[in-house]
Amino acid sequence: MTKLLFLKKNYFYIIIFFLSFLFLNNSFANTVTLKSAGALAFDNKNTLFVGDQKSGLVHAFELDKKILNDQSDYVFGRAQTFEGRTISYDLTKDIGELLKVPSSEIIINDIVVHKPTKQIFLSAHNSKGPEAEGFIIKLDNGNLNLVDLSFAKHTTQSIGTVSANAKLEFGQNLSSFAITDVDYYEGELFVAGVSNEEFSSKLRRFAYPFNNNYSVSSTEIWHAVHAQFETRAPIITQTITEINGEATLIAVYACTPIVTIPLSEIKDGALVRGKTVGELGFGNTPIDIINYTNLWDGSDNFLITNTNRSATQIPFNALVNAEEMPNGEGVKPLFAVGGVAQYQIPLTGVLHLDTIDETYAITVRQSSVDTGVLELHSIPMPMFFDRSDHIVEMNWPNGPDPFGYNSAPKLTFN
Amino acid sequence: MSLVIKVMQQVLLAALFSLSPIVAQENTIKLISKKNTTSVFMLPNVSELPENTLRIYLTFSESMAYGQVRENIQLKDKNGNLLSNSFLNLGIELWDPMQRRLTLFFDPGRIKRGVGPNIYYGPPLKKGNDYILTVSALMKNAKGVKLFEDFNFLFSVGDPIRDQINIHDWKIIKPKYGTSDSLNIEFTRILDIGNAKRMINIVDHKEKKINGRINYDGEVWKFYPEVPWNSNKIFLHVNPKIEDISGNSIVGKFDKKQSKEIKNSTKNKIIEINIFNEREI
Repeated sequence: MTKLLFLKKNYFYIIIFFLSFLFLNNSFANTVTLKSAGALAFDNKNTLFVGDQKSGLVHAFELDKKILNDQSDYVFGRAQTFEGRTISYDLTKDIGELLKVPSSEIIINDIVVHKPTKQIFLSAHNSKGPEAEGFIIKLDNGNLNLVDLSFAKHTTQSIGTVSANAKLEFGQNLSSFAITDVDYYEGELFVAGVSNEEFSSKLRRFAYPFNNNYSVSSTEIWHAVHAQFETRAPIITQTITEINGEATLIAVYACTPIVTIPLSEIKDGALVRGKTVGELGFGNTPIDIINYTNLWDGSDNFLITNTNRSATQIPFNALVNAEEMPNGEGVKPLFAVGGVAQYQIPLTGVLHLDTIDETYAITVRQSSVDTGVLELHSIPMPMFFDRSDHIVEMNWPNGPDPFGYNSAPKLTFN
Repeated sequence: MSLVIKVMQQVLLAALFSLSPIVAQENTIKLISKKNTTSVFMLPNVSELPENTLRIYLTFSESMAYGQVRENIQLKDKNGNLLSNSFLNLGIELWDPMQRRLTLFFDPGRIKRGVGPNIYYGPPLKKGNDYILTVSALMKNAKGVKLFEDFNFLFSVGDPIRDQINIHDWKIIKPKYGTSDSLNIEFTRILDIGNAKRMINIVDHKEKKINGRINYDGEVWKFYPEVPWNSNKIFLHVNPKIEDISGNSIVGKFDKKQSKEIKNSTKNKIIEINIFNEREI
């Protein structure tokens, strides 16, 4: 009996021993794993939002000094001579080394800059298979580092897409909602996406800090290419700005219209008719829209990157004053670019883009040497033009030097 | 033992392929003769699609790698000529979470009548023609292994579906009380495969959901209950947003004419159909 008790006591200690390990793991290890990490956004402070479509969640991570480091001293190029800086020549290889997987398995999903510190954050997956996990990677003085999200206060918000009926005959969930963009504006988060089982224009709007209340609205847009009302095109990218004192969503749709929608109209269950002000043209898909200030003339602008065309610049004032594109009966379809004034920017092969400050933008782009390789490269603004990307006479030795580029000292980086 | 199972699997696959009119026969033969048994199916599994088909699915017998759809999935005419710009390029790929089912949207601008791309390029599919959807042998699974060969799905194209779904058109074949027979529905059109499995639910007289398994590949919708039918009255709950293959729902047409009014008629209302009458039991 005593022996039995002794054994039981031993078992007890063994159990406690293992339980303590469990406890230790939970306390000190990185307990935050992301099923997926897609669209990224920052609020005006230090909160990083991460779209996680596999979980049907948006994560909010309040980053502190353990993660955020000031990057003001890092040189992103020399804008005066139109020179950017290649921070990584093979980004998937470098991230692959960080995540300990072959570069062929790496998917880079988004890029965002924490403006107060100029620190660059990327979202990536460590596999192209369904078992992939999402990771957040940051740049410290040009070095890629994995972000330990366990150091951040973490809250989540369901985007309400995983339906109770979604479990099918073999228990699998087949419906999914790919989050295409996440944007923060004055205490609220706007989430756009595409469903794999419907063709819809649903836009989700959440308060932050999250309180589990959210609204879902659908937008009806006038589609110049289609020459009739198109109710259900998905939003691919969006940004929010104030137009004539009214907070307004600027949305770019899959079939390429540019639409403005006052935020006040986006209510739960509402079917909103956006004002279509421009058309990016058929046979093209937009990737990103950002707003930026042109330091040369002080003007505010939007920049839209595209899959099949060079990037498009739209002056803020042109958008504000844009007439709604003609619609209704008798309007002929429009095949070309139309509506609000648009200017071509020589920016191609860009997969992801954000501004670092008013002088530089950061891009994940195809290498000009090998389009199969992705590089992390900064580009001088406001022209989004890097001299080294183009074959121009000024780049040749003894070539013409009207702007004095060659007389500038050779650029060295810290 | 494992060899026996493998042989049985291949026999089963061969049987599946022989039942499937849209899978080219050559695949069936080579599938058996090679070790790689990855199979690909097109859904709906029917020989004819409507001209204004908006959305189809490809299912794979194993998880596939993300990021290779644009290069490896192509629509061709019956002579094998590539038909470009048929699908909507969203920039992202629409896989289910297991990456075994892929959603393909045909370009809606080419489907809608009287609109730019439709007038200029015409619809991606034209009535009376035959098409081949090819999944290239270069397509890799999640482990990075390529398919052993192209998969070709041959289908013809018939009349477009332009009107809303009317549930009163559905022919419901009732099972017998006390059996586990399937409840069958014959639609008058092809419903979206994903929608049809997710947006039709069966509840009993206490409004309790009856659990079961749904089979639908574009022909007959079949519901097999987990336990034998034991309720005199059951109801079909159909989400009004359910769509057919051309994007028409109960509440609206995909190919909608311009209107000045905005109607919010998409609120999720439940439509009930009395399946069993007590006196019939």
